[in-house]
Amino acid sequence: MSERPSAMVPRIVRVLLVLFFAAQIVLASVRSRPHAHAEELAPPPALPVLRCFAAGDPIPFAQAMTLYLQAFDNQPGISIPFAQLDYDTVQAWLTRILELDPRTQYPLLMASQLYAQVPDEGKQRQMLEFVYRQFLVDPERRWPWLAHAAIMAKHRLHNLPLALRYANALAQHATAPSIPHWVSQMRIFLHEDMGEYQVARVLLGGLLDSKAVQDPHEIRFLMDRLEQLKSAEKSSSPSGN
Amino acid sequence: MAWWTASLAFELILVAALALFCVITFVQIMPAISFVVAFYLLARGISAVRLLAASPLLSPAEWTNRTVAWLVDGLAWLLPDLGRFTPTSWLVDQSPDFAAVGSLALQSLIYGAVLVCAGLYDLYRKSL
Repeated sequence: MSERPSAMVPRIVRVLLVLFFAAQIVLASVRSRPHAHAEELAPPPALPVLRCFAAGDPIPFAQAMTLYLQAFDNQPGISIPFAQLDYDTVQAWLTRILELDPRTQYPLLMASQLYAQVPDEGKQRQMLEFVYRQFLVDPERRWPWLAHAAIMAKHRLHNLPLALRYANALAQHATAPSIPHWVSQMRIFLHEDMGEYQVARVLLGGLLDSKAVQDPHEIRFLMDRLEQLKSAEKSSSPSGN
Repeated sequence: MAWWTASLAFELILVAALALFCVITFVQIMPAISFVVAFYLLARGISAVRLLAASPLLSPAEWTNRTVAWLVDGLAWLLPDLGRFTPTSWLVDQSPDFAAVGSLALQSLIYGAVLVCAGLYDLYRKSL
């Protein structure tokens, strides 16, 4: 379709167009700039509602929820520290994601390596306890996160009884052949750190007697540690024998 | 409720004017519909885009980021800020003051007039 020249447009239309366009720019320039304000994380919807939205395929929906939660600290124009998030709500989101997709590991990684790194001991402990409870649901798949939690409890929280509790859970529940031996050995060295040499010696002796460890280098290492434990036990006993 | 309805009416007037302009300007219907949808979404989200462009996470001191922020600000001047129209909070939480609704009415009037004039400009240039 051919177009007629611009001169065919009435002058009043051209003038009004320029005037209103200028008025729009003036109006926009006097308009206040948008202000960034942090929004609170809302509780997740109930599981039946989420299943309904997932439309029979919960895995991609759970992944999308994970992305939403992980990116929630970055809102337009503002960044919220993890420590300012409501951890009860965060935990509810992580739980929902795991309920939707029980095989996913990422919520536990987020709990143990993102949300548990804040400089707030209460929130750190809350995340570690969350990992502990979720580990008990599926120990053979979720043991790495509780092992990380035990290390965090020892080195970050300096809470050896808590670390021992997690290590004991690992030794009792993470018993599949595919799980490395060091996982069940953690509690032995935690007993040693707590000065409970006799318990550590008994556990280590039991482990060696069980023939569960087959690698010669590992056996030699554990034998050396057993000797060290024996000498430490002797030097710490009241009789000095 | 009344203010929310008025705000919705202003928003609909703007969208109707935009649709009218696109129908006149574009030869085919699909590009016209696509333009209306894209324009609406951009106008709805332009405040968030401005906040993202000026985010402190993007090193605002760098000239590239400053340039992008200026470009986005310039784009925002050319668009109606539809993000301020018809918020649900006016319906369920608190009523707006008269000034807020008045600014929406002024915005609708000015931008609607821009679109009508632009539509007339294209209409006069068409060989019917």
